[in-house]
Amino acid sequence: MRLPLPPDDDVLLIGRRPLRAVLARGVADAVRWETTVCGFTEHPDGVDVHLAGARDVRVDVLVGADGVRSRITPALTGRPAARPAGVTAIAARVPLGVPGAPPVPGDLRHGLAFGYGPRGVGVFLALHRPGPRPAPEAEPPYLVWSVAAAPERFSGDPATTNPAGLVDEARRLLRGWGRGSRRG
Amino acid sequence: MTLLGDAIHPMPPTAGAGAGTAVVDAVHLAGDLAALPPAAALRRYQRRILGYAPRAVAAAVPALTWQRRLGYPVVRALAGAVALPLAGVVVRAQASRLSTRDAKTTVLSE
Repeated sequence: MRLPLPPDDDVLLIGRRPLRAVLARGVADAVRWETTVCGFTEHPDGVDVHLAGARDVRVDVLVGADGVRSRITPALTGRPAARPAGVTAIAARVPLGVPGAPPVPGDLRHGLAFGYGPRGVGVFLALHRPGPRPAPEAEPPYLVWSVAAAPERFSGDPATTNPAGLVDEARRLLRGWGRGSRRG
Repeated sequence: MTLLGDAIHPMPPTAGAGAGTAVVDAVHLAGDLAALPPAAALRRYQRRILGYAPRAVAAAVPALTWQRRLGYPVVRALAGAVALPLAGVVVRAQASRLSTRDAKTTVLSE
């Protein structure tokens, strides 16, 4: 199976943190950090946004861009933004270009990789490597790995497992996997 | 009132397109708000989303579906568990109740 990507183009990836920094360029003064929205009230000529521990803010348009755990979505539509997908994943980033860094499969230079194994265990790999003229927001190179499976394949709740325990869990889920890979 | 990104079209990360689609949403919304009064801008923006977001979500779902099928060879996989549950709802609930003065937008970020 191939991901629906242009066959001859490289895929450009950007980390969440540098993406946010790039998006905030030029509007840093307008961003209020560490402010929790706890509700809103609509009026004929605008929206009052209720903030935790701060005075309401009146705006013309309120855009809920707060992700799959959005607080705005249920208030607006009566339903949560997302439902569980039936797959739980552990993900980590490994610094590259430092002593002890792992070898990186060459295919990752052209895009991300997704692999399937027995018992519904999947692996996701993505290489983050700044280009020749990196933006100031760029991070040093790193590899993202992720191991995903149905929730009941996990021996414990990943949400309450410490990082070392998560690595052990990932190794357990990948037991029997070889070092090689085959393109699908 | 409107929604943007995963808050309206939750996407599994398997196509790596979640943030990119959210940025596309933001570009459309900014353009529409700059060109039209808020109520009309939000209507146009929400119609636009229906034109591309379902495809983007659909492109990301097969990887998850395959993973579930391989995990449960007998049980029929719950295809469409990650779908586009809300876009239609929001379009129906679109706020024609907003005024037509110049928009000042607050974007709530995670």
